[in-house]
Amino acid sequence: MSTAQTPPSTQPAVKSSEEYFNSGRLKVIGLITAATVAVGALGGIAGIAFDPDPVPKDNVIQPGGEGGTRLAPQSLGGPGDSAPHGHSARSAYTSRLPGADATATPSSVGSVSPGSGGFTDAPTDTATAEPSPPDGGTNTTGGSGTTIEATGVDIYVPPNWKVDFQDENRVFQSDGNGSFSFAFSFADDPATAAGDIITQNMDNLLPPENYTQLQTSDVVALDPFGSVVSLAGIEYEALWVDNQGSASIHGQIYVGVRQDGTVLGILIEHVPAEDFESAFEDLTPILDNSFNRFGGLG
Amino acid sequence: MACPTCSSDNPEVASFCNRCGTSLRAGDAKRSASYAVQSAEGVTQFALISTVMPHTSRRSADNYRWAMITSGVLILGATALGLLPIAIAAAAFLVPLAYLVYIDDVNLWEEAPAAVVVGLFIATGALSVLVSLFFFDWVFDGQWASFAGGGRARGGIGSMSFPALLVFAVLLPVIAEVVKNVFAVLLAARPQFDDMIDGLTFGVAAGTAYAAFETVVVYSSVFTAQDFRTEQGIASWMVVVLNVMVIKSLIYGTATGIAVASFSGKGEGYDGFTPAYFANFGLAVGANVLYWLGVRLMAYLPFGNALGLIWGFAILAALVIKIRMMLQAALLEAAVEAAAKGDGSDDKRSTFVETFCPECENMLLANASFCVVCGTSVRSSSRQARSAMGMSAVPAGAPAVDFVDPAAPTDPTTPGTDGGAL
Repeated sequence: MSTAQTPPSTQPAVKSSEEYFNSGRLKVIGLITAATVAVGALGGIAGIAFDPDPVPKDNVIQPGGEGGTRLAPQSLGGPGDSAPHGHSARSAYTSRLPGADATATPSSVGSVSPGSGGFTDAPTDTATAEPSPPDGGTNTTGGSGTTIEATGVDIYVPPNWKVDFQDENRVFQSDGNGSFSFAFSFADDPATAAGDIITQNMDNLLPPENYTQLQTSDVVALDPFGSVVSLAGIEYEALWVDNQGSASIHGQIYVGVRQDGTVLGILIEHVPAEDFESAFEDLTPILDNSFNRFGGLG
Repeated sequence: MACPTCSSDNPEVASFCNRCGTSLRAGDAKRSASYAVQSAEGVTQFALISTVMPHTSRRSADNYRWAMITSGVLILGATALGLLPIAIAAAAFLVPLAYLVYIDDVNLWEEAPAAVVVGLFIATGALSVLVSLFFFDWVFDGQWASFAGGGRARGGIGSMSFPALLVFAVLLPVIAEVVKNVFAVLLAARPQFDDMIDGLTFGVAAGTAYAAFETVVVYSSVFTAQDFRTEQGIASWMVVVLNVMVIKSLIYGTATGIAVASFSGKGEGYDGFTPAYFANFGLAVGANVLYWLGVRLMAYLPFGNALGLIWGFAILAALVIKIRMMLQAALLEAAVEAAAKGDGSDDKRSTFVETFCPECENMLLANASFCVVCGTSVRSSSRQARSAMGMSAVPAGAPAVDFVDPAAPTDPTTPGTDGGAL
């Protein structure tokens, strides 16, 4: 359809389409790129200027017994050398590396004394409630407990906390204010070191896809008590991220192995990381009461 | 020859009616292969730049394409280096910044002061910050934290808090969409900006501004993290930065653009809060809800972030096609109505002097609403183009122009006939 026709005698020169815009190619590309770099630089300045005070990493406690005793501060190293494991009733979280705990600097701990015979809502309180039978994952409130079906291990549920999820090996509970606890239990070789279980399951417990900038302390060997033959803990901090946002997280993981081969692991954490200290007192009863019962002190 | 739709007189060589844009080519009555905003593209083609920046020509659209590619590469490079504060800030504002340049480039605001241009971004951004702080920090922080604490290794999707899902994937998108519409609708109600394309532009601007400021709030922990640079989780952050930079920003922008465009309506004067507006507002809300529901649920699957990105891309593609079909119908129907009402001599959306098509640079007829050669709508021309238009009027139907077939081989030395392709 290129039919030639007579051009008008007054036809002006055809303008370049660039004249129809305020800016030329280089100006558009330069402006947008420069503005993007400038905003990125502002973000960089903000990243330097808004560094918070470091959250103390000396919260690792000796669960069981008197409980709540903090250990010496642990240096945060790189991420643990971990390997993913499945989630079946038997093999999940199972270490295949027998031997001593993968500890760095075992720290002094407070004295361990027998528990009071039941769940308490604070490390030094007396028992206030007996663990309830498994409830099939329904919400539980009121300082009671719930049982992991696969091993019969009781997990303490503090007042105002609720069980969000439960299956035969796991219990996940939260307080609705940024504090969480995840407990798991299974049967394994009694000779398995608790520290190895932590080390080899870091990717399961703290998925690298979401837990970025992960910093962990060394795995700390804790004093066994009661029927617990191996006990270890680790502290971590990470920047959790997904497509809707990010949040700083600070938490701890404790794993104990009983002489009958039953393993109990409890993860406690709080969002945001800077509030972990203030939330810690609400988290320790979960550790103390659950491990007391696990070690036969309750 | 007479147009079969509006009976307007057109040159025998015309491929499109100069008044109503109807294709005069045999077998192309629906014009599905020729987008009225940028005639070289199909209506249902997934072309981002020409959709969200409808006043660009093919040549100028390339400028933005290259600018965004260049900036995007820099941002992803910063992410790969683990410089997250830099990457997140730049990614959040890339599209809004490009849009600010675009609005200035096409002189959308004409003589309005620059403060008004920036005002839409600042005002919408300020509301975005307030809403985001309200949801993520002040009131529902515990529910928000539950997404972090209930990671997929813990209890899987079974540990997800249903109230939290309702708050962040349903309630928040509804509130956010209202906020995104407020200032854009106010501007679209001004008589000089009553075109549907203007409404779309304001909506996209407000939506992307909202997305940028929300991103800064929800990823504020990046700026306050202990480490400025990270070496872990880079793959996850690449996905997140891509989502923030392109998908989220454009979903917010296009969804709001659809709503505000329907507020403007297809004819002269804005339509206002009609049932069509509320239907499209509902569509915008629905798109955002679908997007966040998908993101939240897929977060519990392996490679959840990447799946969420793909899901967002599908939502964005649907919104882009919706905009293009909406604009196509509006431009054509409004032109047919205008042609039916009179000769177009007093139609402010038609050319009134001899001028040239910004797309193919062939001559436009006087009182034309479309280029008879490429079919591009005059209404999609930048205001800068309109103010730069030609000299004396050429009567419609006068065989006075050497029309160039854009499909035919052209002399590369002839300015303006290369279509602007890089």
